[in-house]
Amino acid sequence: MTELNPRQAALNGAMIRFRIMAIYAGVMSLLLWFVSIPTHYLFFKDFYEYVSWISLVHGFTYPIYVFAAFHYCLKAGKSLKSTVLFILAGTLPIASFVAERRALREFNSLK
Amino acid sequence: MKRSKGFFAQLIVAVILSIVFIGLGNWQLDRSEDVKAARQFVPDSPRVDLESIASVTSNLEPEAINRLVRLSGNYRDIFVAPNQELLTDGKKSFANLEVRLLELSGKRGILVVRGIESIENQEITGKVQISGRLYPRQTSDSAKAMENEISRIDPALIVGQTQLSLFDGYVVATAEATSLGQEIETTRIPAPQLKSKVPGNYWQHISYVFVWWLMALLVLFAPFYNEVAVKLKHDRT
Repeated sequence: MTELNPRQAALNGAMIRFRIMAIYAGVMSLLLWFVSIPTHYLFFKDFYEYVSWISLVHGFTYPIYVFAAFHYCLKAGKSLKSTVLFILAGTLPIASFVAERRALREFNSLK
Repeated sequence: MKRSKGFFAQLIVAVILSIVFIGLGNWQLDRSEDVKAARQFVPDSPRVDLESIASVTSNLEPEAINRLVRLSGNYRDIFVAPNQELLTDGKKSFANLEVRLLELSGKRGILVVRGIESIENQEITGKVQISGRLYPRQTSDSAKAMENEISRIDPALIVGQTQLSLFDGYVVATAEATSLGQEIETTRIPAPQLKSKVPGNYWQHISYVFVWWLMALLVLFAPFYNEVAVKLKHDRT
């Protein structure tokens, strides 16, 4: 484990929270877009009753992702535009994984 | 602190967006209430004459949907509505239904679902008294229609085939009798109250209310974002 420099140390808590929530939101978005929504509106509609919890859980936990992303962006000194994009990344499949990788890359490059 | 014009422009945009998001939250709140109401059992109101709750000149009022009605007239055309979904004791099944056009007084007509299609169509002459439940017209096809078939139970599909002015919606007959009071038998289908199909469940909509209102709050903070970010950076250095 590499030692964190002071800037990384200041951001570490917010960064960990954001990474956890980004991965979680990414998984939930994938389930929502490719399991819950198709079974609700398109096909295998009888199956929806078994997966209806996905949209419910996603709905209640997305605000936690929003808080985590907002806090991280504010602490990292990101622009307002980047912050909005980071927050919206939680609604699209894959996007929050991309945001998480990007945040990690930026974190590692902090001097 | 003196603020620039740009800041006030941002603030106005943020307030407008915030109002929109609050509106979207309220919309989800309404939907959650609709879901709640749709799940509740509503006792049937007493049976009424069809003409007292519907007319041929207007669409069905929401209050008229699901009402138990009585009507009388003469059967004219016979149609089959294939592959219709039936819900019996919570179990889904599909059947071809016999649908007839009933002519009421004053050159008016309405579609009546008599029951399951039989191989030999019953000949029904003379005036028929019908008890049943009023439903809104179907909006999606259940099958491809062949000759004398209708792809969905919708008066719009037969409007060109009749001179009658048609009522919106249709009636599922639960009992039929001749003018002499003799009951007409056929294989009836269940006529349960139609439940509103507002997608999702109550708590799902509540969660979206929370999300939209949170967004409204964050948007209001947006004009101050750069200021706070700079202050945080300054505190760190």
